[in-house]
Amino acid sequence: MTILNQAQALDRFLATVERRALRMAQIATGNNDEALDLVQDAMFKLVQRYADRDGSEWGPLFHCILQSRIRDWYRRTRVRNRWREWFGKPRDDDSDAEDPLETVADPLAGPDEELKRKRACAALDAALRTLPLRQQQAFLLRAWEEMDVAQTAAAMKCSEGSVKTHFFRAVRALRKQLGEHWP
Amino acid sequence: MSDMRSPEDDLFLAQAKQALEQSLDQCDARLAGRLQRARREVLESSMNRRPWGRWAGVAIASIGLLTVVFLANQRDIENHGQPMLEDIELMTSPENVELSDDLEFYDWLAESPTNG
Repeated sequence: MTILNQAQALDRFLATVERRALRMAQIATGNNDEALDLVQDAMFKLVQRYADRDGSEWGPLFHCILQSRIRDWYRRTRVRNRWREWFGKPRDDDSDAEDPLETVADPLAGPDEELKRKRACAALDAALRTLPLRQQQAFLLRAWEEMDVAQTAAAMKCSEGSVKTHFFRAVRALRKQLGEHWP
Repeated sequence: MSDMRSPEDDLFLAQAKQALEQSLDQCDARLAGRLQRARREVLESSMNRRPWGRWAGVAIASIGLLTVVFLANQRDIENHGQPMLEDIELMTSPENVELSDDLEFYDWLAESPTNG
């Protein structure tokens, strides 16, 4: 494959995964700018280190990199928040991120289908944000990306047993939060 | 703990997947534009970097090879440099001039029988 063909193939691949990747990062960080940085960072790493790999490997590799970046961001934020609390400053998520509950639309807004869909998305989004990071990752990779347990374990860098546990707990927690009448 | 799911779980997962897919359509245009620009930046920078990366690899390999050749030559010069200096000393010292004058004597001595 020539460099130009490879670039085009990478462009096509990234174009197909970028929006879902951004949504995952948004759910994890609650911040558009941070999410965009994480996705771009993951793209860079994939292109720099794995461009020569077969195209079928890019998907799992990209998710592995992205989840790793999200975990790193999560750890950094936790440490920063701990220091902020120590010095009496407000937490990052208190000051920057919007309250997830505020994104849920008013249930009495009207019977419009579009509005109902938006409301369902917002409710799921808010519920996903309340999950611990590992449950969130397991849920999104298994339920949305339709990765199998082994692929998810590789992306999350944990055992297959842990993936099953996180996924099971995530489904339970989400169903409980969203209730029987969702969506 | 297992990954086994009930039919209700399966229904919930299908609905959740659908909701997540629909949420992609709600991504605002400005953010989508920024995302596309980010992708282009990544690809452009990597394409610009690649030829340099290859040339850098060739340059580093060449420098390495030259260094090895230079060091090998240096070692040869050091090894042979000492005898050359000794030869010069031999040639220039007055004692050695005497030695060269008596060369015929030493030839005769070498050819004569040792016993006797």
